[in-house]
Amino acid sequence: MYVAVKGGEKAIKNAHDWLAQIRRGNTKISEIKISQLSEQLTLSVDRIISEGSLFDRELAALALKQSRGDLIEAIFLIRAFRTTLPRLATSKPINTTKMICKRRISATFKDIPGGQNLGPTFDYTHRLLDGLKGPKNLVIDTETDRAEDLDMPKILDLLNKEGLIEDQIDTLEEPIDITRSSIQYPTTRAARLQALSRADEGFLLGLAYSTQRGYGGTHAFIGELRIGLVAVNVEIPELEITITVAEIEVTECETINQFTGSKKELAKFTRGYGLVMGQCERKAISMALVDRALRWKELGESYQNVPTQNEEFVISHCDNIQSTGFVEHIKLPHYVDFQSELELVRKIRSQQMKD
Amino acid sequence: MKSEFLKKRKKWLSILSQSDYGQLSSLYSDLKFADKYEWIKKPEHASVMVRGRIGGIGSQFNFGEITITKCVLLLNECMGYGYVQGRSFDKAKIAALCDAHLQSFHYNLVMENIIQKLEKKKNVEIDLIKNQMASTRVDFFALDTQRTKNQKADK
Repeated sequence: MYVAVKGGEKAIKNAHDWLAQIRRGNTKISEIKISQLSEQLTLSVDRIISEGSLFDRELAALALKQSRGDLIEAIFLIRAFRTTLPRLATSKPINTTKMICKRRISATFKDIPGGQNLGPTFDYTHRLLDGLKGPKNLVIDTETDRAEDLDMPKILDLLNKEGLIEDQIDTLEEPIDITRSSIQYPTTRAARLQALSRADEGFLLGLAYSTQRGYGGTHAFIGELRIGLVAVNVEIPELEITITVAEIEVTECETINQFTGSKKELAKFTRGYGLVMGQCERKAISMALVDRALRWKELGESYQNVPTQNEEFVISHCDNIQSTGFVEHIKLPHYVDFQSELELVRKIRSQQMKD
Repeated sequence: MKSEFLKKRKKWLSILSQSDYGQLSSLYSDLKFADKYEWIKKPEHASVMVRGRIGGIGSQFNFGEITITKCVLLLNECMGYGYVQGRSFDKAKIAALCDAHLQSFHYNLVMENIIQKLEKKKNVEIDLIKNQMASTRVDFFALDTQRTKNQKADK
């Protein structure tokens, strides 16, 4: 049991003032601007957006600065802020097929309609510290780099047409919102995807890696990975129209996984799905792997007693704000708590010594 | 007639919502309107829960939220609605003023000097993304392995 304590106002104020000083650092060095963070530390900002589960680049950059670059602290600030916003509406589902892609690749098919487009990627760089070479002009050859035929169908739809991969049926079921009602187990795939999309990247990455190393094993290929802009459409009842209220950047990963079939069904491929706000490729891939592993029951696979088959384990521990809240709270005063433990141990010892 | 108006309004509201605040406010001030409006609903920040679909095509799930700013005002007997992305009261106000003007005899003025210019800038940005992406298009070649070499030799 936790018993509240009082006092320490002056010490707390001084601690926070010192924190503000340290956050500013050496005043001979110019102060960093929010716009510099949102423009130049884009992937940190994107991670705050994704795990804070609120798409607002300016706010995420402000949180990054206020938290001295501690991403979980920044995500905490965003989560706290989002609770102050009245919810105006729920959007129509975003259409990722109509994404204005910046990157779009498939690891399963070499020749795809719309082509393999690398986008601004770290892939194929040498990972050498090179002193931050400045931006270079892109060499765009308008003859061969035709932008007009960038119609990009979903790769998995192509497999779907042949019946080689499971279809994804719209059951028209109203999904639960885990920010409004607590998750009951067993839960739905919709609830899991919402939880995974705002989950801690590191936690998902570790779990995804575990499935590849043999704790479970769903053998995933990246059918398609795309990053780009999608429109957010909202119905405005008083105007009787649906308008685009925003455009957001998202990362989507669709995996293709083996499925040997059963007595009822022919062998076909199955799907894992990752969708993350911002440019968070590592997380989108991890999410798709974990999503697929969690579907073992639905697909009639055997239970292998591995973490990624246990939805309660994964979903209850994937949120870094919940995790850090509970793990870190034990540093706060527990004097009364501990006092009772201390008395108990003393009592047992004295009893044992008498015996 | 009504549906034609709604179609146009849908388009201009969608362009205003995603516009760059700096560009919108400078284009608006260039028109030098002396606006006398009254607030029906002052600007307020809000969130919208964005939905996704499982596998991109299946059932819906709640994906995450975005910030928006909303307001309603009355200008020359026209109700102007401002729905914009992000948290700018002023941007929402200007969007609502544009929406009201677009329902009045200022339609052509605002359409040509604001909406079309915003749309043009947006299209330029999209074209730039598309061109840049196309410039990173690759052709991967699968190299011969000993196995494929043997297969070719057998033929």
